[in-house]
Amino acid sequence: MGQEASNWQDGRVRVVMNDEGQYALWPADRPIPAGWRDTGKAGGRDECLGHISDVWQDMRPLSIR
Amino acid sequence: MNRIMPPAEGPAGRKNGLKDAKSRLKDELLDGGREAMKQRLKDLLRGRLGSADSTGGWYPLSHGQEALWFLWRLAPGAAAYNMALPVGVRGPLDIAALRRALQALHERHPCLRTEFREENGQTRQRAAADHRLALVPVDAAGWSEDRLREAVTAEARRPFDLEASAAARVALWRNGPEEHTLLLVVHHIVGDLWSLVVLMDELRAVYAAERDGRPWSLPALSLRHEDYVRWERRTADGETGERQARYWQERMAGELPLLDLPLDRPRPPMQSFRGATVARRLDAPLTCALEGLARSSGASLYMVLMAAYMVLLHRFSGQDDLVVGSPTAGRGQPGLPDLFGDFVNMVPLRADLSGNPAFADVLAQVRDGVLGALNNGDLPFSLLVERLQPARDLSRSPLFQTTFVLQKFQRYEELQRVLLAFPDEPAVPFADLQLVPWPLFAQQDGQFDLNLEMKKDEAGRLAGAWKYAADLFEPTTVERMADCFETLLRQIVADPTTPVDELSLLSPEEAAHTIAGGLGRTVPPPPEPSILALFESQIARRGDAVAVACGADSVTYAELGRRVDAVARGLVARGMEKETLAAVMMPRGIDFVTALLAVTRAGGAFLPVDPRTPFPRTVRMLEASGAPLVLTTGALKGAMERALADIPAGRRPVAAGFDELAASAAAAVLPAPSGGADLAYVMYTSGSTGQPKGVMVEHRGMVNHVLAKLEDLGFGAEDCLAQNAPQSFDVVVWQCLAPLAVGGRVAVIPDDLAENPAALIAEVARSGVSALQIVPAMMRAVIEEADLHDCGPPDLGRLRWMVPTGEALPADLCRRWLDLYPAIPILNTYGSTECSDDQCHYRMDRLLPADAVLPVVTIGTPVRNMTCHVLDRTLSPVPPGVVGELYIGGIGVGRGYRGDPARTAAGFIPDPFSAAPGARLYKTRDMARRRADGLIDFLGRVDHMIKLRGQRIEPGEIEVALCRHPSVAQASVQARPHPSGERRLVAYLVLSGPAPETEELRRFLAGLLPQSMVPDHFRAIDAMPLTANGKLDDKRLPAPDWQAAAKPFVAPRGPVEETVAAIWAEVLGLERLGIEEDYFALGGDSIRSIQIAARCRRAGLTVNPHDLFQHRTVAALADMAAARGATPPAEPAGSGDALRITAEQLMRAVELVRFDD
Repeated sequence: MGQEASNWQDGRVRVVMNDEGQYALWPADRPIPAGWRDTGKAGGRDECLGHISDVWQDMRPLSIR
Repeated sequence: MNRIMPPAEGPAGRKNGLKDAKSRLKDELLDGGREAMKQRLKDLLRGRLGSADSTGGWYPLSHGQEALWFLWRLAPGAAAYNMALPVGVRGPLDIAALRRALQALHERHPCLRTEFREENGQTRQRAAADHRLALVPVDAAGWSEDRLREAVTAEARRPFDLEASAAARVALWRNGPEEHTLLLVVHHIVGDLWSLVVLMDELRAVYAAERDGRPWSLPALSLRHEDYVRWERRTADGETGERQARYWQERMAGELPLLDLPLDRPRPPMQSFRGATVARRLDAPLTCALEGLARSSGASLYMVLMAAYMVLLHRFSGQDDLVVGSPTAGRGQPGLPDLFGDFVNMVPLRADLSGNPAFADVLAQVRDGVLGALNNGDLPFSLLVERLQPARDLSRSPLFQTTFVLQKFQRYEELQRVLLAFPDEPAVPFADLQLVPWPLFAQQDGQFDLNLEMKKDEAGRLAGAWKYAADLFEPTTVERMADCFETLLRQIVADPTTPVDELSLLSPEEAAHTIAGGLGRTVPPPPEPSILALFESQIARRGDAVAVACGADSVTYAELGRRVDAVARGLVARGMEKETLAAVMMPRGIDFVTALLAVTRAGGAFLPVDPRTPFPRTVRMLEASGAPLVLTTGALKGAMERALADIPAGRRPVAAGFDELAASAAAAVLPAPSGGADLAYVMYTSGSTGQPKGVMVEHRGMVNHVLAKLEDLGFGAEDCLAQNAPQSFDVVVWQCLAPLAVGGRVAVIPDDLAENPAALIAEVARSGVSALQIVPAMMRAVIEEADLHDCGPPDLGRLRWMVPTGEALPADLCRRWLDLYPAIPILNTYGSTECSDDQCHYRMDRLLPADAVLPVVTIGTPVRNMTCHVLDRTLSPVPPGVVGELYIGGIGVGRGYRGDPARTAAGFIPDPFSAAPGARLYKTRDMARRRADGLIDFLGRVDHMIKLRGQRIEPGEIEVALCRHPSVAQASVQARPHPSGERRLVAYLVLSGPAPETEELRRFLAGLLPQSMVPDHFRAIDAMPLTANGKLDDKRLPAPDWQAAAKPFVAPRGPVEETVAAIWAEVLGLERLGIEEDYFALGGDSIRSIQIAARCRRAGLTVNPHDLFQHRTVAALADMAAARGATPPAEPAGSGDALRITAEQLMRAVELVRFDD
């Protein structure tokens, strides 16, 4: 489908987080799947990934920390 | 080149807002009409009308007819341009009256008795005088429905011999006293669908009169077909033609796309035209809503449906630039609507769907395109093709590969129930008779990949006939497309502002069903959370059994357990704790396996490192990984420590010698066993950006993968797995550890043996390996090695599984393997390191027909507890057959990239399809599609796919074809930039025989592949450059030498080339041409190919028109002709009388055959 040309990550995305403290991108206009919550950060892909790099320092899942 | 569909509401049907264009057009046509009338008057005055004129009534073909003539010459046995109208006739049919009525119409419409003659490459036509129409009823009383359908189909598809007989015929079957079946068959070269409506409309009146013995009269025809041909030529050659050509050149500027729908079967090198139809009706409310949308958008229903059809094609093909053909009536001039003849013209409509436009925007584009086409629709399609010079490819139709039409009949409207018959159509009144439709009768074979023909029925429902090339599609695939079309239409009427890429192709129920189809089997995880725990439970059971062997050395389960504990204590003493990462940089062998287990035992995670990797690279990787410890051998330790000195002291890992740790007898207390969520290992994979990524895998994913492998291989305590992969390849993990989970044996095969096919074969047999995992390149080397053995394939001992890994698996390789070793099945595997090695398995005991459809074998279905979804750009599932990106979910989804939260968050996203809250889905960047049978086809990387001219090209397909050449051992096809700026296909070859000429390779490939896939440049190299993991390193392939590939002028050599070159020059109007120059590059086309072939035949060379498409240089054509030998001199063209006799004899012969049925 020519992902190289266009992809959901080229649109507006939001930063979501699950119960293990793992961050992920998710399309801003889609309902957030169960077990994930909105962190309040949304915008372009690069902006959101930059934010994640800043806030996600310990990548270990919460349950094993 | 389809030209059957009537105008209906094509670009010819439009609504308000189009008045200007319409009146302009009308003026033009009237002008044209006046011109024609004036010309005719002049002709009359000159006394040149009638059959007594100097030309004997012969006149040239229209442009459309010339194209059809060419196609007929190309494939005289094909029925692609037969138009058939079969119909049940209910009631008291008066056969004699029908015969009289048909004969009368036969006399009225000269096209029904046109004969053709080709002389000196020029084709001419005339109406035969005194032609009698044969109508002899076949007694079909008591026939089954099947038998009748078979007979009618056979008659409908029986090819016309345009040089020998009339291009129209009638057949009648008598099923009972008041039940008949009537069939009209007309070759498209003499009529279009509109013509059939004219004929049937007149027939019902004349028949009724003849039956009653009443006199009848029909309005006189004011124009003749001949007049039309003259008008058409004048228009095309004049200023109008020039202006319209300019318009189309602008509209069709740039690279024209080839429609790239997902096919079920490989495209044959030449179109066969075999077609079939899928019928679908839309309900009245939806139809009504679509009409409402058209009204409110200032567009027509035709435009709305055309735009929606383009969206469907866009979504199925992934292409943004689309061209769809649409027929126009071509009967604008007064007098033309009443003629029987072929007047329909095709126009290409183009739309740009890039950038995810709203549907309403696409509709606006289509509306503009239709308006433009309306103003410029007089230029005959064949001239348009000539003007635009699209790349010639015998496997596709030029300019567009799909058409759309919305039928609307101008007269005898009820006849649409017969001409485009859907199930449950009511009968059509015909005099005092009833015509009973033959639903879904394939009216003609498929000339295109896909056509959509729609109409609105009396109940206000839209009905669509999806006609498709049976060479390419399964019926279920087309049915699915039709379903998707309806799903799209419902969303479009609900909100026309929705961006087209956000329209779902599946209804919610279908989407849920598709998602469910992507789930692997659910199996509860074992109580043991790690492979180490599984191994430990085997120690008690099989303490004395050999766990790992390497050459002459081996270690038992009990001994291995002791060593693991000892090294683990040493690691704990060095500070290892839960989640500590330890690099293991050791040669593969018993100690390496021990080290991996010991790291787990000490609660840490291992990072395997190949000691052969250059140290600077290893050091960079270690620094990036943040591993505090490097476990290595005593011999390597000193050198490693010196290399590590580059890392600043605070972050510098400590090197520890394996023997040192094993012997230290540390008294450290071992930690509690690792849990499933703990980190098991880290593997560095190369990233597309060149920066390696440290993939983190947890124990639960590793255990699930190992158990899936063991289960699918039926691998048990008696089995032995070869450990041949290098430390840098993620499969090294299961190879080292999987057998230990079930009491089996690991046979470590050292590098020098693992990388030499002959030595590998010997070692597999010697050490009793039962499963061998190698990359396809090594598999090919092993097969080639085995082929060298004169006395049968070499013994592989206890080997019972071949497990290819690492890249797409060519089907030909599987065929060769299974031919050599039919008792050793193949387990094809696919996986992302990010999701714990492999996620898909496919078992092959023999090559099934379905396995050979694509050049690479399917990757099968998801393994236990894993899911594989093929999703579109918006994360919605795509229907089977549609290409999307593969996303992987399930227990094996890893933790992410070490020290790289951004890449992790982009690649590991929420799994919206999982029942487990918070689960993650990995975005593979691999292209895939799920087939109708549920198996997944891997179609390459998102970023490695070759796309040329908007077409997806699988290099693997070309490579496999090249390898069939006796001189080619290995091939790699790449898209490389050409000085012209566009990318071209370059084939890199490793030869195993005498170097073939470029032209020979081209010819060889042309027999196997569509033209578009034949590389432009071939380059022989000594060996394929490989990466450390044995995969092709395409960055190290040499740059192509385009200069050497350019075609210098080469003069003809010998009499055959001289003759061919002279004929080309004459026909193409050139002074001289080189024998290596391409026919189409020189300006050749299909029509001229007929002339060239005719002249070649006269010169005694056996050349057919289609040869020019496959042997595209003088040298190649001369070669071919010389090889084929001389042909008898062409027979003199028969006289008209001879033709008539032949036609009648043929008719009689046909009737005899029919009675014999």
